[in-house]
Order: sequence, then C-alpha cells, then structure tokens
Amino acid sequence: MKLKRWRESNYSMAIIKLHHVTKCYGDTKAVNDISLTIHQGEVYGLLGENGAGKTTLLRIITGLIEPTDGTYTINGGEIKPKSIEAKRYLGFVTTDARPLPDLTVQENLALFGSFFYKDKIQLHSRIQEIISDLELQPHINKRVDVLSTGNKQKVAIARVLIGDPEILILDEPMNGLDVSTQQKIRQLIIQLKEQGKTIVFTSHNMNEIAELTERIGVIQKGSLIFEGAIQHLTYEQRVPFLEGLLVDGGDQQ
Amino acid sequence: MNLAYFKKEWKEYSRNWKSSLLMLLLPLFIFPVSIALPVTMLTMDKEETPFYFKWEGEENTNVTSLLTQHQFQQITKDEQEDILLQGNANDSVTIHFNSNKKESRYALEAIEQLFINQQMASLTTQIIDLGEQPEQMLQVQVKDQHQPSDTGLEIATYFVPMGILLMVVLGGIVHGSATVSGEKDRNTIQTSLLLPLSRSQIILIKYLVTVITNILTVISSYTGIVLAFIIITKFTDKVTFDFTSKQMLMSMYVAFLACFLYSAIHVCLSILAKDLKEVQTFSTIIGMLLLFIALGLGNLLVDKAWLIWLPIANQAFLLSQIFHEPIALLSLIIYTISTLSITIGVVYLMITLFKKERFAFKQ
Ligand SMILES: Nc1ncnc2c1ncn2[C@@H]1O[C@H](COP(=O)(O)OP(=O)(O)OP(=O)(O)O)[C@@H](O)[C@H]1O
Ligand SMILES: [Mg+2]
Repeated sequence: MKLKRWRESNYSMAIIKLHHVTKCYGDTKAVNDISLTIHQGEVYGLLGENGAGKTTLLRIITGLIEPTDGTYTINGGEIKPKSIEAKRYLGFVTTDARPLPDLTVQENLALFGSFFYKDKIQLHSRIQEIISDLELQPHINKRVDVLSTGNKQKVAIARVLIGDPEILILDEPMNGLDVSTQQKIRQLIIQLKEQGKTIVFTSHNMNEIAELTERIGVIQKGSLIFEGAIQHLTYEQRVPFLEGLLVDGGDQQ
Repeated sequence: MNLAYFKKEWKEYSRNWKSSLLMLLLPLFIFPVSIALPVTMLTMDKEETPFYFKWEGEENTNVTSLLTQHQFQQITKDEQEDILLQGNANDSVTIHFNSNKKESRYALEAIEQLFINQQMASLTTQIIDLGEQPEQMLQVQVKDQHQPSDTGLEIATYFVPMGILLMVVLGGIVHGSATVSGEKDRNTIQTSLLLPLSRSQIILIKYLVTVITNILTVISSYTGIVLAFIIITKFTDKVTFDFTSKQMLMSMYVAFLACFLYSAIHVCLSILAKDLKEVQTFSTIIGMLLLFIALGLGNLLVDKAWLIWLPIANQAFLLSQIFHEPIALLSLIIYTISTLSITIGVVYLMITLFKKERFAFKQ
C-alpha cells in the first residue's frame, strides 16, 4: 500500500511536458500539435512509422531545434530548455550524433567525460564501468572509424551514459545491434530505470517497445494518435507496426 | 572558454595530420623555391654580361681599378658605352648615364653599389641623366644611398607580401572551411551541439583553433622566407638584405591580424555551407577573390589614399611597403582599427548564424 502510493506520487511528477508542440518544415508538419507528458522514472516508448516525426520530436525536447509553435517544460519548469543545464540533464542517443570518428573509443569517452568529471581518477573509473557494462573492452584503443556499426552504436550510447543524465532519450537505440547486444541494452534500460532514471525511446518495432515500456505514444504523420498502456492499442493502430516489422526490419541508416 | 572542447578541436586537427603537416611544411619549401630561385638566377645572369664604360678627361685610377676588378670593361674606341665617367679633380667624378637604357641604369646601380661596398664615401659623385630629363642634374651623396636597389631584393620584396598573403588566405581556407561543414559531413555536429556548452562557446572555440592554426602557417611562412634569404646570401654576394627585425615583426603583425579576419570569413562560410563539398567551392572562390582584390587594391593604394580604410587593401599595401620604406604609423593604426572592427562584425555574424538551426544542421 505504501509502496503503491510512492509509485503513484512519483508517477504524477511530470518530468517532460509538451504543450501543443508543432514543427513545420515548409509545408510539411513534421510534428503536428502534440501534447504529452512523460513522468519521472518511467520508460516511455514512441512508436511510429518512418517519417512519422519521432526524431523531430526528440530534437525539440533536447533543444537541438526550436518548435514552430507550442511550449514545453522540463522538470516542471525548473530546467530551462536549451540551457547548458538542460544539456546535462538530458542525454540524447541518435544516429545523427556520432562519436568522433578520428579518435579512439577511450579518447572519445575521456573527452566527453571531461565535461562532467573534473577529477581524472573518478572519470577513469566511470569509463571503466561503462566499458565493461557495454562490453567494449576489446575495442577500447581502436579508432571509432574502424568499428562495426553495432560497436559504433555502443560507443554512442556509452558517450551519453558517461554524463549520467537524469533523462535518457534513445532514438532507435537497437539500430544495427545483434540480438544478444539488443538484450544487453534492454537490461541496461531496466537497470537505469531501477536507478530512477527516466527513459524515452523510439522504435518501429512493437515487440521491442512492449517488453520495456509501461506507456507509449504512437505518432502518425506528425500527430499523436494514441497515448497510454500498450495493451490498449486497438488492432487497427497495431497493424502498421506488425507488418512494418517485416517491411522495415532491415531499415538501418 | 572550455578547455575540454578546445582539446577536442585540437585533437581532431592534429589527428588530421596530413593536411596539418602540409600547411606547416609547405611554406618551408614554397618560399625558398619561389624567392631564392629567381633571385639567384637573375643575379647570376647579371654577372655574366659586362658593363662598358668610357673615361672622358682626367682619369681617376682608383675608380678605374675598382670597376675593372668587377664586371666593368673600359673601352676607348668609338664603341657604344653604357656609362660615361668624367674626372674633373682627384676626388670627384661625374657619371653620365641614360635612364632610357636598361644597361645604363643597371651600370649606374652597380657603380653605386660598388662605391657603397668599398666605402668610397669621400668621393664626390655627380650623376647626370642623359635620358628622359637630360637637363636635370642630381647631386648624390654616395653614403646616403641605402635603398634596396638590387634586382634580387626587389624581387624578394615583391614575392614576400604576395606569398604571405597567399598563405594567410590558404590557411583560412584549409583550417577554417572544414570546421563546421566537416562535422556536418561526419555527422558529429549534433554531438557537439548536445554537449553542455552554449553554441556561441562552441563556435568561438572553433574560431580560436582556426586562428591559431592559421597563425602557425604564417609563422612557418616567415621561417620559409628567412630560409630563402639564407640560401640567397649563400649563393650570391650580389644581394644584401638589410631588413631589420623591426620590419619583420611589423609585417608579421599585419599578417597575424589578417589571419583573424580571414579565419572568421571562412568559419562563416563553413557554417553556411551544407557540407564539405559545398564549402570547398565557396571558400576557394571567395578566398581567391579576396586575394586578388587585396593585391589589386594594394597597388592602387599609392594613388588613392581613401582605400587605406579598407583593411584588405591596406594589408596588401602595408606588407609590400614595409620592406621598402618607413611606413606611416597612421596607416598601421587605421589598418588595426578597421581590421579589428570588421573582424568583430564577422565574428558576431558567425555566432548569429551558428545559432540558427538551418545552418547548424545538415539538412
Ligand atoms: N530538416 C528537415 N527539413 C525538412 N524536412 C524535415 C527535416 N527534418 C525532418 N523533416 C521531415 O519531417 C518528417 C519527420 O521526420 P523524422 O525524422 O522526425 O521522422 P522519424 O519518425 O524519425 O522517421 P524514422 O523512423 O525514419 O527515423 C519527415 O517527413 C521528414 O522528411
Ligand atoms: Mg528518426
């Protein structure tokens, strides 16, 4: 009873709140009047077909781009969007933000870690921790350039984890990963959730999302067409992602 | 100023060691080759053909022996002489030359140089031009003759400003143009934008690294020039360089200040371009255009004083004048103020552009 109340109070705490957010590119409405709330400590899934507007929405949340219309708050307005503080608070993994290809894995992590850790020893132990979590040891001294797609993705995730952000935003994190690594990332997400982090991630894959999330949002052509528990999705709403699993399964960029 | 991001930029720059090394080593070859080669060749050429001189009246044996020891040949017959000497008394000699004739002019220069080198200052020299203005008589005190009248030196002071400008422009293109567009190409620009830094900090650090690397290229260029002078003086004693270190420092100051402006221009272009390919075109065309404008306006500056307000013209003018004659302090001050204010304007534009998502992203 007590635990339930704690969970409820924790859940009611909105960490990200979007209010009628719209983003236009010329005539295309990449994001069309979306309002949604993400609660502290939850794993939130964004489901949508190619070009639905998922990445655009996440870019707005992380302050990379400005919405054409609408507003949003982070942590109840305590953290100013786009501020340096917000950049520490939010960690964004996306295929468009690659680790530095000319540097080694170690150098990449040390470099990005140095924005968060002033102490060299602390930074070093943090790097070791992440590297063993993601099983990157064999590649630590290789240039990122020469790594496989999956290992590059792991480095991209490691780069964001090093700052230990409160909110993790993962845009198609399973992209290019093999089944066992996908399992690792799933475990990692569960582990981070247990630490009290908030996680938002996108996918075209229903199964992937169903396993991890309590609540999802479904975006279609820029609009939010569903929000709630995944079980409540109607059959019609599910269809694109069931079939899409077969059609888009190999979609990797 | 964030040290971590500075280190990131620096590491990426040095990791790209082929182009970095090239920009540091290239000037060390280009200048010796482009200055030392023509100068040495021209002065060697000069040595081969003798100048013919005639005496009229009383002969000064000191002068005759000095001249015949060098590249002069005395003629007595009715051959055409390059230069005519006339002795009136023991310590005075009148030189008749024809400014319309190239050989005659060179012969006069050579005689003057000999007099200076041999310190025959006590000799009173009268120079009469039989060419353009035959009636004009010039009283020349030999020991005051200290202008760079060597052909070699003239070539050097012509190549130096051009070469320096070229390296400043080239440095701006090579170091500046890839700084943002390269990141767009490699899909790492968003990685930078997501760091806990403001966008103005990011772009200013990128600019700073561009300026530093550009200045390193210019320093290497000056090293190349000094190297060229050392080589020249090794091969020929016909050319003397009397550049003072003050002149050297002054020209470096002009070039360094230019680096700030050109770097800012190319970082701006780097933001405006959507990828590396586009910036290559932008930067090369605009860089070359600026170079030609600078060289063209720099030459016009002697006649059109108002051009002094344009830093691009003034920088070319200052660089070419510094080695020839004392330059006006006012010109230097105007150059400093105009360059700094335009640079600040371009840097402001740079920050404004980088804050626009249209330019900060690969679209
Ligand atoms: N910078 C841009 N300029 C113009 N149009 C854009 C831009 N970015 C996105 N769009 C358009 O906005 C729409 C949404 O794109 P977005 O990348 O957000 O989709 P997505 O849901 O992430 O798709 P995917 O699953 O393929 O990653 C697309 O139609 C896209 O073409
Ligand atoms: Mg996407």
